[in-house]
Amino acid sequence: MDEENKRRLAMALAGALARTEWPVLNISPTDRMARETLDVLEQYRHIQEVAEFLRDFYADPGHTDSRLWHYMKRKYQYGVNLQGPEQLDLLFTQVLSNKQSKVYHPGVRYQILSPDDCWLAAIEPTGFRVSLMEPSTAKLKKLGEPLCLIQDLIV
Amino acid sequence: MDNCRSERLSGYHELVHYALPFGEGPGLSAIRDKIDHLDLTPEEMREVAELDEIVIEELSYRDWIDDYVLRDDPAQPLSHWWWHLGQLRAGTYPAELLPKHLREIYQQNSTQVAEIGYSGG
Repeated sequence: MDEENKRRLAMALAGALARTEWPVLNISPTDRMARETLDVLEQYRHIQEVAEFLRDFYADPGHTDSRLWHYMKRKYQYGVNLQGPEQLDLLFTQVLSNKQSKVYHPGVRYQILSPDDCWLAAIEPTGFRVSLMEPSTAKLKKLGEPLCLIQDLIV
Repeated sequence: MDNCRSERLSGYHELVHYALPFGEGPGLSAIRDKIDHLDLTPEEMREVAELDEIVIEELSYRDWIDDYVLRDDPAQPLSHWWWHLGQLRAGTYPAELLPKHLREIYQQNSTQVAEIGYSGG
């Protein structure tokens, strides 16, 4: 990796660590996948955070906070024990700031894999947080060779 | 962590739900190919069919999908549609090779895309 690419990557990582912004999603309530999630969330409407999310979502589904959408899906659709959306931020930050995390650049965005291979974080070159995935073995194989480790960027 | 109905399908499920909606899909074709070699239960077959349908929809409607997801593998049989996501995205994949339930979505989406003049991207 040349110095210019290294600089771009470092800027993207620094941005994602500093700003903790997630993108705004334009979700159609009639979309098959969205419908599946929303139907599950309706079952939990008696919980305040779900009721508030649904209220805000239906008021403007075109401007849905990606972090909240991730949180609602993980917690209520897939039963993950999360205390709040900030836990996703914490996970994201842990992946990006771990010196042993591996960085991949398969396309436009960077993907950063935690040292234990449990979490794969995607970030925009501009530093926006995109998504946090749990990579499967097949996905890990497909990632190929990492561009570098986070520690390679530390001077 | 992922409590989708079948653990064997969790990797595909994760990609469809957390990668593709954001224009990502590392290993999507490989994961789908691996599933093709499994002896699936009827319930798993239904789940795969649903996930496949979402993939076809996402390929048609998602505003932006990273190029690496859409890089086709011409060495793979054309009948294995998951290796030819670029063609599916572009609407140039031969519809008759798709299973019926996917073909209907693909053709319906292609028509709608043509009507609104969407050019991909």
